[in-house]
Amino acid sequence: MSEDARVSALIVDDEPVARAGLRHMLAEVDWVACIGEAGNGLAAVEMINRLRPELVFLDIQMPGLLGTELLAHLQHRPLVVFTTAYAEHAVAAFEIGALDYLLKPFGPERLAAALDRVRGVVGEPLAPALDRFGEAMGPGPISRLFVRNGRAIVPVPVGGIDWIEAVGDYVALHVGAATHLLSLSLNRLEARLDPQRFVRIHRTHIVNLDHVTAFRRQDGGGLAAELHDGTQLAVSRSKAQELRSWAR
Amino acid sequence: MPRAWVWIPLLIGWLPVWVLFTVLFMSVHQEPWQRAAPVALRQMLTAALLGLLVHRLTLRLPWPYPLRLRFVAIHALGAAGYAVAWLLFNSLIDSIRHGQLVLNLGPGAAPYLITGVWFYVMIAGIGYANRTAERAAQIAMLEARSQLAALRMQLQPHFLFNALHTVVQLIPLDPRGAVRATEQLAGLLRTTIEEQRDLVPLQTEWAFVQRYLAIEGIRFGERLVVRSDIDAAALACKLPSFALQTLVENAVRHAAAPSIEPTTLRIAARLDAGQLSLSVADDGPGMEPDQLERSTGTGLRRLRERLAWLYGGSARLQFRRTDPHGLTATLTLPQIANGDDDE
Repeated sequence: MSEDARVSALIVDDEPVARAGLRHMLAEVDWVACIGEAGNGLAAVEMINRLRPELVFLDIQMPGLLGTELLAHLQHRPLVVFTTAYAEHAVAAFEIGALDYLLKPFGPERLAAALDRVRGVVGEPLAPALDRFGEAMGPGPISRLFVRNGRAIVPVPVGGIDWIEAVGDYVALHVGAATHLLSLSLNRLEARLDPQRFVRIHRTHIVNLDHVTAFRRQDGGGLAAELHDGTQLAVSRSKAQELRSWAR
Repeated sequence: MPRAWVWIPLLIGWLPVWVLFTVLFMSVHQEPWQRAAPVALRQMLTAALLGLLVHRLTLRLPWPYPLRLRFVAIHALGAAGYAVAWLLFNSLIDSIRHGQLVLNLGPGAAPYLITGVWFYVMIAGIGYANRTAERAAQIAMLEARSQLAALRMQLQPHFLFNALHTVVQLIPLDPRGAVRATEQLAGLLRTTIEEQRDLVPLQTEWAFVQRYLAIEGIRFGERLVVRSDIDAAALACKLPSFALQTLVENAVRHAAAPSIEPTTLRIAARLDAGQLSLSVADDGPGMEPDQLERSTGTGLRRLRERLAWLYGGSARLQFRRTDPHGLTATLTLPQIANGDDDE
């Protein structure tokens, strides 16, 4: 799996042990890559703007700039999980769009709950605990799918997916030669994919347009999408009409 | 209770004086009581009115611990002043009544003045006795409050949560370090909860502060540098429990915490001419001393309260800015030789 598929995270805390501890806990999480640490608010602004992490763990009481003030200085807006011993800033933190608020002291279990929410925003499927809140998770299209591999959770970037197939209660992701099964409905997945790129060509197929080389007329009169590896996927009649109208 | 009721015990207190004066006038001047009583009442009222000033003075001038010469001298002057003022006040009233200048010496100047001094001592004595009872009650109350509020006041709750976070994070990284930090934190909590004494030896307080600094040292890493210069002769000196802690924690919170660059704390203790002198200096951003007093929350205010009750006016706590930046807190405490050993 490519390194880039992991969620890049930056740790901001003025206490060295707190940084080391969080880095250690994150090292246990397969799908998160810790790309740096900052020890004060000013360094954090510089690093976030330069490294553009997707996720920032942000302490609030820090020299230089408070964690809550710091967000106003960012050119790049990451997902923010606050980490602090101060319960009183929680309301303000959620008002400025924090994804979660970890009260110190916290350990791997509470961190895992925060990471579930992160996973829900950047990808599918959701952690079981968040399943009921599916509609509330991130409005934008997701960037990854999280595939279980033994005990590990492996992120698969959506750009690398050739096509997606419904198989009973599961969806099968076809990524090059590999196939991953996910417990997820095709409808739910379709709703969270970028419609410019992923097109539902059939009741049971979603195809990544970037990987389609051609749409060809079949002998039987139907239309089929041909992928760069030669795979032929049937296009439903109603979708075929829609595609033709686009082509004109 | 309405405010007017406060005057009732005062009046009752002066009634025997009226009776005593009446009896004196009757026996010394062979006067019938009908004539003696009004004269005695006038003299009693002037003494009582002037007594209000004496009462004011005792409020303004708390009893110092230990007793100071200045205090005794002020009251000696006060007593003399009171006696003379009483004599002149009575003469003034008689002069007005008779329409001519009268110097009312009664049985003679000396007994007159001695009676005045005697009044003064009674009034001031009752004032200080009240104040002492009040002080004992207040100390007991402060103690009870400080035990209940020990965790909240002596150690900021955020310090506790952050310290616990440090311990939790250390567990996988450095298990031995985690154990050590837990022991130190437990030691701090135990002292905070169990310390009952008003005054503790510097040795005890310094051990507590060192534990506190050890934990802050882990939290702040290189951003906190501590230099200490504790005079061995000062270790046996007494100071209010958690007094040094309050100053050190204050410096950590207002100097080290907001600084990106390392902050150096210099902690010094000296025994100097019978006084324990403690100082905590930082090279942090510094702030106006009066701004500090307002912003710092309850820690410093409570320390000042306790100093006032424990030492009267003889303890000094001062803040001044240090060059080029930073703040120095100096606490000077008189030492009572072999004082009340409550260990």
